[in-house]
Amino acid sequence: MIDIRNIFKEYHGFFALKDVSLTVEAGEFVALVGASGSGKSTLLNIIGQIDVPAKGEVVIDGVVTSAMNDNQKAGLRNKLFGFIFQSFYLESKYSVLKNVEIPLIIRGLRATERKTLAVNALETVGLKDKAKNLAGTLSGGEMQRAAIARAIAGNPQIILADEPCGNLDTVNGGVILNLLKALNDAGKTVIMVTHNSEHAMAATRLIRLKDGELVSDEKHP
Amino acid sequence: MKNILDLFLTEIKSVYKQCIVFILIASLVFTLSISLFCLSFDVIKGYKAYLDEMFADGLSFELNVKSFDDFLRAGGAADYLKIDVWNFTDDVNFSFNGVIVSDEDSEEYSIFFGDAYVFRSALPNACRGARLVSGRWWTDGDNLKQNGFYNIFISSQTAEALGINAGERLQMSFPYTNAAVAELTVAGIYEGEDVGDFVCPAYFIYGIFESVAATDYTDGVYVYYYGEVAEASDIFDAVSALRRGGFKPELFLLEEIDLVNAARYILITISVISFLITSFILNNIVTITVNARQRFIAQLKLLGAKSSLVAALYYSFLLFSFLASFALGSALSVLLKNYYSGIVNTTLDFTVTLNMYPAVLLALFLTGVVILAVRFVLFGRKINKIQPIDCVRSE
Repeated sequence: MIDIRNIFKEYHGFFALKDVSLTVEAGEFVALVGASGSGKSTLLNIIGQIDVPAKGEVVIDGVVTSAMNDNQKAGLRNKLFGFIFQSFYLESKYSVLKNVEIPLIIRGLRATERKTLAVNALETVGLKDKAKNLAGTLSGGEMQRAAIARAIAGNPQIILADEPCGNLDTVNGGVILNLLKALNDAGKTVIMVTHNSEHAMAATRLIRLKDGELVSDEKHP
Repeated sequence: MKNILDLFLTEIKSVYKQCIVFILIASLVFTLSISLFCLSFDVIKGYKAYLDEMFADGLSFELNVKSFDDFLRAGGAADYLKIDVWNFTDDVNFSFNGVIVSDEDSEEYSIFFGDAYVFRSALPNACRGARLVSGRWWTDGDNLKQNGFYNIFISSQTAEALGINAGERLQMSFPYTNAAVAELTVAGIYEGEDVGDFVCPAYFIYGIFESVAATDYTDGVYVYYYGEVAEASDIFDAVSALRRGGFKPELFLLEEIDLVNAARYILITISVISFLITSFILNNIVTITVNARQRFIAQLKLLGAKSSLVAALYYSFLLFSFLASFALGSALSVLLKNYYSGIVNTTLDFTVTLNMYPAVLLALFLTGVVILAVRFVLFGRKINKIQPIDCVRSE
């Protein structure tokens, strides 16, 4: 369970988040929506321990993350979270397989175990046959699928996706949403940032932000 | 450790091209550095061999100083006293903690005082005491005290026999005459027996002298000293030691020695500069790599890498580059040694055989490791500054 308590985030006098509080239960598929600059990506980064709030705290499974040091937060990012971004952040000169292996290398897993987990993840996203290709040779949709494979290879409990379909056409965007839904069905907690209300409908809960404030929190089947 | 290696092997595939160019440049500069460093030693070695061959009987030189006192003072014996009582076992005993030592090796005695006057003569058999300068006689410890002598230098053999250390006080007694005992502080302990057991430091401070004799002095105006070295190559050290003591030795080879020494220092200087340039180039490899890979570093951190892991990854690049450059540079140096020797030997009268000393290479290697260690700290700071959020911000 993720408990966000009275979060504030300030950038040079401008408040990107103002007193945001919410709770995300395990297994939920949450969509954070809002216009550009509403603070949704900032909130996602704070949840994922990529950024720190100016005030307030994030409690994950009863642990207050602000009490953690950098190394502990790094460990949390590696094991608990899987990250997906609009720009994929794949290393174009690495093979697809190696890209997927990076968080597993960081975790210190042995080569054979890494390879098994990475290949399984690529199989899940339908990219097993492209494992040896350089990431730079993939199409946009394939790159995002590879990024999802990297996010799920280490079997994290929470998937954080920031505009995962932002750079994709409708068809590929649909494929990625279906993958996220499948991951959620498999028990993963998914928190997705999107400004696309159609994409947001894939989630079971819709949280709307405006000017850094939480303005609505709706559940739908 | 294994994950660093895994990341290193992965990452090097994306940066190896720029690494190879840098490593090749660094290797060439390193070659120059190593070769010149080794050459600087070999030039001296070749010249010393040349001297030994040319002057098989050793070399002699002269010192020209204003006075004997000047000689002693320049030798660090401003407050000096020389007491040699040789072949008069019963005349003077030195004792410490009940141990007694007498000197009985010579038939000559000398007393040197710190006032520029010297009394030196063969001691007549009838003489039962020592003689003070200015024609006065001294026969006991009281006399010494009155003349302000509190210190004495003793040989290491005597110090060992007495079980005494510098700074401790020994007793000088005159058993033959039962005169007053003198208390003297051991001001220093020297090596060597040639100059007696109890002396001022002037004669022994330059161990290079096989014999030192005053050839002339007149009322403390000019004194010429003659010295020699058995091995001609020792003249290098002799000249250095004398100059450190403020002397100007007179020697026909002096100009040549200076020239060879200057050549050595020039070679070492160029070598050190080359080595620093190599270090600079190698450091740039990683600096450029880190700068170019900032987003990737932030991404690694975002994916859960600790700063220490990332620092170790890029530090291993520096280490790898250093080792590769060092190995390549050393190999090239060995290959080029005949070429270097040829150049040197055409311009010198003596033969230089260029060797690649393992010790020199090791010293160079260790210096490099120290530089790398310093860089490690700096890299750590640079990498610490890159945060996971930078991955997202750079979008």
